Amino acid sequence: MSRKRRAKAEAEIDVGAFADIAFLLIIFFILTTSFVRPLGQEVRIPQTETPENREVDDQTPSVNVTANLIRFGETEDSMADISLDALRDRLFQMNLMNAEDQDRMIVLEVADDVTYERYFQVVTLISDAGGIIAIVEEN
Amino acid sequence: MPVRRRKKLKVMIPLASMGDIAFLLIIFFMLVSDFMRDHQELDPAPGADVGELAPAEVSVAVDREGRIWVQGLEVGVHDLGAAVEILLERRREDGIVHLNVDRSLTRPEYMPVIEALSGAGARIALVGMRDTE
Repeated sequence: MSRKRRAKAEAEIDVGAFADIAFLLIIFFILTTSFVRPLGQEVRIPQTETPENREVDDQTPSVNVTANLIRFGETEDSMADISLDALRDRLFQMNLMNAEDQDRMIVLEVADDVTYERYFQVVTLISDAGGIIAIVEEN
Repeated sequence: MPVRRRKKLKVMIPLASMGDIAFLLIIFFMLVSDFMRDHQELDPAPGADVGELAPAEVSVAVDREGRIWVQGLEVGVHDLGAAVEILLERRREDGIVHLNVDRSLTRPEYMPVIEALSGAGARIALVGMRDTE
């Protein structure tokens, strides 16, 4: 008796719709992705607990920022009004980039009415010149 | 004379490899996307001393209302340090935190944020834009 062979069923998964979904997802990610790197400046602000931030003496260069004025002095006694451009020149002249960490400290005192815009300009300037910012907390 | 019909050819385009490529592209875009982070309403501060920043591990924003956002989620100033610490620990890297603050805020609004980030041991990068003036 001859046995009849069953024809093999060809199983196929339709992947057409699968690719459609994938391309929709690609379009979504293309539209939401931004490859532009943000602009800014990395700043060095030591942690509150570190010893370098506990005490600053009168010989540490200081920047005092108010809403209208910027004052700078390499010591406490030599504080004087200064423009932002002049401050940049003075800080670069100090060659902070090549100094030891403790000699790179700049004490920054900011008044309550100083906007973030002004604070940002001063802080990024100090950091660009190689300074390490010490935030002053009044006792 | 009888006309012999030609047998219809069944054309099939293999779509499986196209799907593979599509999914590789999806994975790529998923890895490079950082949506959900900076959708807050704020005007970035302009400055002359800015450059391109390294990619952020954690993104913190303070909007014009003074609300603090970490990775797109609102947090209170008292929870900020702990939240950033946890996120940085999870990434196990010397993490850079991008801080984007609205330019109009005053010291009592932005300084506690900076102090909290500094206390959490973050490397802070202030985000702004180039001053065009």
